[in-house]
Amino acid sequence: MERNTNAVISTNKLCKSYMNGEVPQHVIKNMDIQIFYKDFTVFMGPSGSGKSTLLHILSGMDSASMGEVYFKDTNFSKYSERQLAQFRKKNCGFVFQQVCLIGSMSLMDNVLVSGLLANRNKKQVAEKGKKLFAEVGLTEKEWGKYPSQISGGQMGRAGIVRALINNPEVVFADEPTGALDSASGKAVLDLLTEFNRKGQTTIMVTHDLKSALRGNRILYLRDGRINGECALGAYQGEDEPALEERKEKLFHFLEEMGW
Amino acid sequence: MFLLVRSNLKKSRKTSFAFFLLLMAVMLLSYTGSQLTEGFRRLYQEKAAETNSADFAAVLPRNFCERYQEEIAGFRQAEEEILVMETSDALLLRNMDIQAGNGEPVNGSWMIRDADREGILSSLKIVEYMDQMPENGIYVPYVCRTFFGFGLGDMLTISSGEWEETFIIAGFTEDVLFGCRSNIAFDLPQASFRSLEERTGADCDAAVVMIKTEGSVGGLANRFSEFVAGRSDGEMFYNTSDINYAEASRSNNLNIYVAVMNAASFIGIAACFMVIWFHMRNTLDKDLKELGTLKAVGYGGGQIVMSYVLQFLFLGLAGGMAGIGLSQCIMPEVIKNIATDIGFVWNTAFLGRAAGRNLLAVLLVIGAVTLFLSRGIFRIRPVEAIQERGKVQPSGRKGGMTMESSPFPVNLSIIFKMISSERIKSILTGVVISVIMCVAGFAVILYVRLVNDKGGMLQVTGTEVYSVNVQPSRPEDAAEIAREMEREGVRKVMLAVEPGSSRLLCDNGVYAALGVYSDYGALENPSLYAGRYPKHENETAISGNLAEALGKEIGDTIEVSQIFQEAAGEGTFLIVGLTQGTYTGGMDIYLTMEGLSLVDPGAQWQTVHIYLEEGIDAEEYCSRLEERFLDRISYAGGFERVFYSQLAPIISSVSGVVSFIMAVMFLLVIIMGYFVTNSILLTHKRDFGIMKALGYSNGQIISQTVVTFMLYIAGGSLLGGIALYFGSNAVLAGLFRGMGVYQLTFRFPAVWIVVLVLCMEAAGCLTAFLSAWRVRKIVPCSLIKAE
Repeated sequence: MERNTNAVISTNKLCKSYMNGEVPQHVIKNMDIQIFYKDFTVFMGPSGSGKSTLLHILSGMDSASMGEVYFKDTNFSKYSERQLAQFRKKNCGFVFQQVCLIGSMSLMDNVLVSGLLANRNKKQVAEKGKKLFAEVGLTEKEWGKYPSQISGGQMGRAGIVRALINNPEVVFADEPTGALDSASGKAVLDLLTEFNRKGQTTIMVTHDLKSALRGNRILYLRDGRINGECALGAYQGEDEPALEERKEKLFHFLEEMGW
Repeated sequence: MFLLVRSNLKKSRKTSFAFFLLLMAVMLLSYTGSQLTEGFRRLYQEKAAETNSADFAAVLPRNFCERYQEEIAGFRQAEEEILVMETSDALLLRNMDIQAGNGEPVNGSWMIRDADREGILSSLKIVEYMDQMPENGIYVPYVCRTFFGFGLGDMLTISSGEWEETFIIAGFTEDVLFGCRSNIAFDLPQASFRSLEERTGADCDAAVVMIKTEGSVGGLANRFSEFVAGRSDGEMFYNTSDINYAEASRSNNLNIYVAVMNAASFIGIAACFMVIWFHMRNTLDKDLKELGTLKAVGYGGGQIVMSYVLQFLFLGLAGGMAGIGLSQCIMPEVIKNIATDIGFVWNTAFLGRAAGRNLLAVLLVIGAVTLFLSRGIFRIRPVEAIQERGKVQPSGRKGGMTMESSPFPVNLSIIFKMISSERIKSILTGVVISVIMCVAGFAVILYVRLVNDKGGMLQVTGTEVYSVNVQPSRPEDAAEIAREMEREGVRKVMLAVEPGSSRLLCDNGVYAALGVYSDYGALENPSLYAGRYPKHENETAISGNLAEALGKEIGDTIEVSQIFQEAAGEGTFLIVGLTQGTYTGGMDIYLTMEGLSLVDPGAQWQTVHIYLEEGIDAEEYCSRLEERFLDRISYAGGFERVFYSQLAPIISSVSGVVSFIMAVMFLLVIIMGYFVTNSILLTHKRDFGIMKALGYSNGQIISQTVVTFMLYIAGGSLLGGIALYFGSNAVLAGLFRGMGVYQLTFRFPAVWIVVLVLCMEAAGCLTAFLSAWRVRKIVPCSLIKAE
């Protein structure tokens, strides 16, 4: 497959299999996809379709069984564990379903533990962290707190700060609202949308329709393959006149896909 | 319940194996300690019964016994508690060397008895013998085999000056009173005995009065000594032994080893508790869902808890029995190496009661601790547990150091965060490691100061070590001979009444070994631990043991009398110093010659101690002395070499015990390393997953885990090192206290301790590294899912 030079991540005949006892289970089957710069790509699909596995492989957290995965022009599918760690550190930001903050560290420390990996200048990293905390609406008093002392929404926002601290090329979000109440989930989505609007490439896995509406490109997975794709255009906000039309388009697409 | 216990064991194979090993080590140490103490006590009683040993024996000049035969019989009749009293002939060879094969010479006073003597007390018991008795065959005590290294058929040479007799060792004997290192009697067949008796002359003729009593041995010994003292006229030898002293002198070293073993086994038990603690903590975290399921299907908290209690009891029982079995197997080697001065053939028997008692005590404690540490199971609610809610996660602490303010690199800051997030575990781990370090460090100090550096052994024994010991034929010539010896090659000459060569009666009927030196200030190994040596005629320094026996201290006065000398008197002395040392049994009194003259106007210097310059051979020097002084001296012999060669078996047994303890301590560090690392990995599994996702490499995470354990070792070592620095001398002195040592000033072997810490760090680092290695196999997404 010829790679699009505008793609930040692309795959070529990507396969992923697990052994379930002695029976091989093929989770991703010969998948060719491209993720483009500045896109907000959303993976949807039923449980077991392979969307989280795909996200993990694209982010270098897991390795492919066969096929190639490119980041820009570099094939990282054969990277060693150490090279993958370097790759994630330099290029990826993560927003996890359970937020996954380290419980024994304050919010600021959670951010620094990621930031100091890429940049050893503690002052610079801390300054950037403070700026990002301010952008996501967390005050100095809050970023000094521990995860057990704050709300789910605040945790979600802190998770986004940590994901962005190293200026990643791509932010990977795995069900970012899955463990949050609706208000907190909305706040997290607003932030992801906002940063995407500023040019941050984002890939999100979700089951949630409201979350999926934030993406400009929806990829539907079924049985380890891309079953279909829907282009929604950039999300303009809840007040956008075309929101209903956007919803309609998404519902229609999902209906077609057998959602 | 059986299924639950079996499932627990299957799930935790490594933990079970480690716990089994620990319990085995604990019981190995504890039961070996019991074997050495209770086994020895039982053996001693058996040997006393087998030989029908006398309870008290006194060696006296034969002519004294003949002269006071009737009065001795009267003494026996007056003492109603005496069961049997016998007298047999002996020869007392004073200040002679013995040498067997190519062995080092041993200096001392040796008694030779008639092997065919009549009587029922302390009968001759030969435990190993040649098929045919050679013409010049001699029976020697078994301690000569185990301690001095003699063998059957070896040539045994007894020499003093020009007098020398050579025998062939034809057998080894067991004797309770005269078969220990400090009191040795050889046995010759009657014909050889009588022949030797003629050659040695009347001066060596002695009689051994042996008494068996149903009363107090100590009281009888004192009354008999007073009886003898009241009838002695002129200089006479008088040596005694009793069944209590003979037992104590045999078991003193053993008691020290047993104390160290017991300390090590207590640490082993503490490590077992840590293992249970880690295991239950990990179980409540890792198997929460399973525990919830068990509760959901109807198991009660008590049943689940009981399954863990039974699991550890079963492992404890298996490990304990294995340890007891192993101890029973290695006992012959242990005895061979560390019980060299027992003087009996020791065929170990199984001490069922001791084994059962020790094992039961350990199992009871293990059961109670497991019950306590698994109490969290009672609080588990099935629904929450199945959903894995309420898992304990390491939490932060307000006011702790932040990453931003931390002066350390990010990896080190993360390690400190991990340690501070689990304060109780960190403190407990540090404390256990510090105790392990204390015992290992203590063993190292024992090795360094008693084996590697002979100065330490000198401090413990309190012996003044000089090059050559010269005894003038006539005591009044001692000072003149000493003056003549002050020439080239001689650093110093000291006149002495050899400590222990005669005894004085102090207050309360307590006897003390007398020592007098011409210049206390010139002693090279002063045994003082408080005050000073006597300078004036009314002053004395006494040993700590004597001071305790008399209830005296510096500044008090002490009444002293010389009851064995004709025209001897009494004197009152001011105690100005306290001494210590094991050499003379810890009951010493030091006077000036002027002071001794107050209680014994006829007192004379007995020996001349010569300190040779470095490089001069003592044996050659002695030969030259004998040529030069001819019959003016009765004995000249090297002392330093003999003294150190006598210490060799003790040094060897200390080395054995130290190696054993070090092996156990390293095993404990390795087991701790395994459990602590596992616990870190399990507790921080989610955190490590997050960190891996963020870009931390396997190497960084493994090194964080390894460094965390190394920091525990470093912290524990620091604590242990401080405790050792300030406490090791006091603990050592406490161990040796029964032998007369009160204060030790061993220099802290900092370099050795640093090497020990580095070795512990290396062992811990390797274990932690191997345990943490499996982090490599785990992909970050699966670690995060572990949440």
